[in-house]
This record gives sequence, C-alpha cells and structure tokens, in this order.
Amino acid sequence: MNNYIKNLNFLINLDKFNNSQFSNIEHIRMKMTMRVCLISALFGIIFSSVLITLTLYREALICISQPISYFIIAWIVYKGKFEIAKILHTITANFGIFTFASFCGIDSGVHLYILLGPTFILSLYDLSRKKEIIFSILIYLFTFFLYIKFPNNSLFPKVDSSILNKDTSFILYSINIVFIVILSTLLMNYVLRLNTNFIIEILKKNKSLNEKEKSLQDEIEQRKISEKRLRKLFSELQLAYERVNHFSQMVSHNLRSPIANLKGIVTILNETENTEEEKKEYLNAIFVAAHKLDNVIIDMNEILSIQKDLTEKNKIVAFEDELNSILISEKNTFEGKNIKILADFEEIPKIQSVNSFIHSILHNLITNAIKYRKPNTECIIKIKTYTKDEFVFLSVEDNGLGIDLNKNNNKIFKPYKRFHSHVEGRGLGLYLVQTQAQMLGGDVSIESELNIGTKFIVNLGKKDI
Amino acid sequence: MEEKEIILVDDDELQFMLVKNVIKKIDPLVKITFFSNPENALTHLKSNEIQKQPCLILLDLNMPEMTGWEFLDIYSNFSNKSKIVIISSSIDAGDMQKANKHPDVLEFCSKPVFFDKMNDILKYYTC
Repeated sequence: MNNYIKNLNFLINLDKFNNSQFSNIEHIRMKMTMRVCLISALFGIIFSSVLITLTLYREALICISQPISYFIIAWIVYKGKFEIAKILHTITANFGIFTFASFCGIDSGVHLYILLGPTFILSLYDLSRKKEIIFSILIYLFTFFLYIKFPNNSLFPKVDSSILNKDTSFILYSINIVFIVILSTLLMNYVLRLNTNFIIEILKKNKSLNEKEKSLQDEIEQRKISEKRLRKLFSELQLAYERVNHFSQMVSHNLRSPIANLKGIVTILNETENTEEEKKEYLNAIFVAAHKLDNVIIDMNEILSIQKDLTEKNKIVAFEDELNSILISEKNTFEGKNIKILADFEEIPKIQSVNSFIHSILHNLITNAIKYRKPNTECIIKIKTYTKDEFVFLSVEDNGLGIDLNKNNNKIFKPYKRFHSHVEGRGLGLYLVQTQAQMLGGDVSIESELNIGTKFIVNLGKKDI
Repeated sequence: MEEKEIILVDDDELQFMLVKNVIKKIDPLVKITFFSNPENALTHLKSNEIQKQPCLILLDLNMPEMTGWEFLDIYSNFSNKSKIVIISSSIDAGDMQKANKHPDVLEFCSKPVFFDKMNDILKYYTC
C-alpha cells in the first residue's frame, strides 16, 4: 500500500521528483530497464554492423535506429524520468522486434519474440498501474497488427534468402523458441516477484472486505431486530398513552361530575330557605351523588388493576371453567329469562394467559349480550374459540338489538359510551374488553347489524401452548 | 309576557334537579325542559324548528350516547337556532378553549352553577 501511495505521489509530482523518492521495487525495475536497454542497444549495433558487412545499407540504417533509441531511453532512466522511459521502452521494444522479424522472415523464428510483449510490459509496470498497462498493451497490439498485416517484408526489403539456408534457419528457429520460453519464464517470475506485495495486499483486501460485509450484515440483522422491538414498544407506549388520556378524561368528567353535584346541593341547602320537602329531595340527591362517586372510583380501580393483573401472566386458563364460574355468579341475571348459551371450546380448550382478563372479557361480553337482547325472543349466545395465524381468537355472537356501526364505529370501545339507553349500564364493559385484549397482545373487533345481532371477535394474543 | 323556555341537555338527573331549583328561585315563570339523551333533544328541537325555539339551551359535554360537541355539530345546521351555554363538569382547558371558539356557544361554565352565575346567564342570554 505504501508503495502504491509513493507511486501515486510520484505521478502527481512528475517534474519535481528525485531518485530518493522511488521505492525499492521501482529502483530494481529501473536498474533492470537500464540493463535491458544497454543489452538491446549492443545487439542492435552488432546486428546493424552485420547488415553493413552484407552491404544492406538501408536495413542497417533502420537497424541502427534501435540502439540509438535504447541509449536515449537509458539516458532518460538515468535522469530519473522513469515513467516516460517506460512508455518509450514499450514502443521501441515492440517495434524493434517487429523490424527484426520483418527482416529475418518467418523462417528465422525471430517474429515469435513478439509473443513476449505482454510479459515484457507487465515487467515494466506495477500491477496496480492499470492505466499505463492498458496503454502499453494497446501499443503492443498495434505492432502485432502491423506484423500480421505485413508478414513478409512487404514494408521493408527482404533479407537475401541465400544468407539463411534451410539448415541454419531451422537451427536459428529452434534457438529462438528456446530463448523465448526461457525469457518469458524469467520475465513472468520477475513480474510476480516485484508484485508479491501488491498481490498479497489484494488478497488481504478481499479478505477484510468479506469480513466487513459479514459484520455489516450482522449489524443490519441486529438493527432489524431492535427496530422491531422498538416498534412494538412504541405501539405499547401509544396504547398506554391512550389509556392515560382516557383516565384523565375520566377524572375530569366522571369523577368531577358527582362532586360538582354535591357542591351544588350543599350550597343550595346552605344559602336558601328550603321547605321540608325540598330538604328531603336534596338529601336523597346527596345519596345518589355519593353512590355515583363510589361507582366511578370502583371503575377507576378496575381500570388501574388491569396493569397490576398483567404481572400474573402465564397461568393456564380453561375457557369452560371460566364460563361455568360466570354462569354461577350471574345466576340472578339468567333467572326467568329465555337464554341459551352454545359454547364450543373444542379447538382451543385452554390458553396460557391472565386468568382475570379472560374471565372479565367473557363476563363483559356475555352480560352485554343479555342486556341488549331482543325482547320477546329467545336470546342465543354462541361462544367459540379458535386459532388463526398463530393467534387465539374468542368470538361471542348474539341475536340481539345490534349496534349501528356506521354511526358509532369510532366510539364503540371508548369509555363511558353507550348505545342503548333503555337498560342500566355504565358504558365501561367494552372499553375494558379492548384494554385487556390489547394488553394480552391482541385486540377486539365487532361485526353488527341493527335488529339482527352482534359478534365480537377478541384476539387473545399469540398462541403459547 | 311571553313564556321563557330553557332546555337542559344533560345525562345527569341530579343536575336537572339542581338547575330546576336554582332557576325556580330566580324566576319561577321560566319553563325548563329536560333531556337526558341529546338525540331526543335534537328530535324535539327539529320538530319545533320553524314555529318556536327555546330561549336558551344549557348543554352538557360528556354524555354517553352523544357528546355535547356532536350535538353542536348537528345543531349548527339548523336554520333557526337558540343561544347555547355549556354547563359541564369538565375542568379540561381544551374543552374551555374549544367552547370559546365555537360560534354558537355564548359561554362555558363549569359545574356546579350557583345563583350568581345562573342569574347572569338568565339576565344576559334569555330573550
């Protein structure tokens, strides 16, 4: 990584660098390039002098351009402008091979040196320098294309075939192949050696990336879980807030109303002359107000005790037992009335829940059904328990008066709301049913039609047993 | 002299008894009609809409069948309206503000209403 940064640094400050700015690997590469340049130049000089002795002056002239270019490159490297040198080196090397291959023809095997191009380019550059590598490969491909386009000296004059007879050309071909194999192996080895750090770093990066991805996924999973928990808590909080609101409403209206009555009565008694009859009336009124006050306090206590009862969860409650206990305690309510209760607890006979909640829900719904039954008709109450989507449901259906849902839909489960004024009631039953169902993790819904009947479906929360 | 009529809408019968006795002491000629269910009050007012409306409606807010606000929502659409004074046990600031903003409500009184207050109400608001 350090190397990479240094190289980048060097790219930015191309003009200002000095030798000490290069990394060790870059120094090795520079030394190597210098040597290759000098050897190539030497070969170029030998080859051109051979051509001169063969009186092939034009070819010799083209050939001598090679060592000159290599000397220039070596000089540039020496001056420290290694980046420019690399590009020139790529161009010169590729064109050099192309030129020699063209001179010597296919028989000599010199043209095969062009296959070394890619490994040669890789040896010049750090593997991280993708742009430069791609640029050099393009130069290489261009010369390769030229060679294929002009394979047999159509660009340059052909070397006299008398120089190379069949035997010598075969030997030369074999030597060249051996050289190419050795050179390409050495170059590849060189490339790998110089880039070991880079490759290791890539592997490391991949590994750490994988690890990061994994930890990120874990984090997402955890966030999802905590978000779910948060959402549940939030909805619970909302319900609690609603209950507090209802409670404050009850204090403001229902608790204050009988007290206001008492205050009014006492003031009238105190401040005005009253007849005996009026006094009697007021005394009675005081009694009624006191009774009302007591009732409100009992209601509030009932609502508050719901919170307390929740702590005694996880009791196994049998619906049949609860129903029986209600039938016994409400014996007076049933007496002399034409009531039929059809209970079906076969699918879910028991539930792990809060005993008092189940009892209260069942009690409220049954007494409601009896209170608001149709006069002069047999009152039939159907009770059933069942499961659906992991939840336990209790449905209580009657054939009573029914409620106009269009008119009253939003206040059915609100406290102190009533829909039939002919029977005594405080308007608290359905509010308690809803509160208890919600605290068990469920809710309550209603289906009703005027003069046909009402069906309450209570969700009692998730099934545990 | 035309007979004064006051309608009291309240679910609390004790309140009726109190209001009736207080008003009787102030002005024995006032006729008080009591409705414990606002729905019945609305039916009564609707049937007499064209001929004659009462001088004053004393309205409670918190009633099980229908709240005072719901009563007002319906009554606001009547063509011939009476004056309305809210007498409620509510001590909720929100109720008070809402009552003061309502165009058809003259005043908001907290229960219990004594002679002085009732005297003022009768003096200022009856026809």
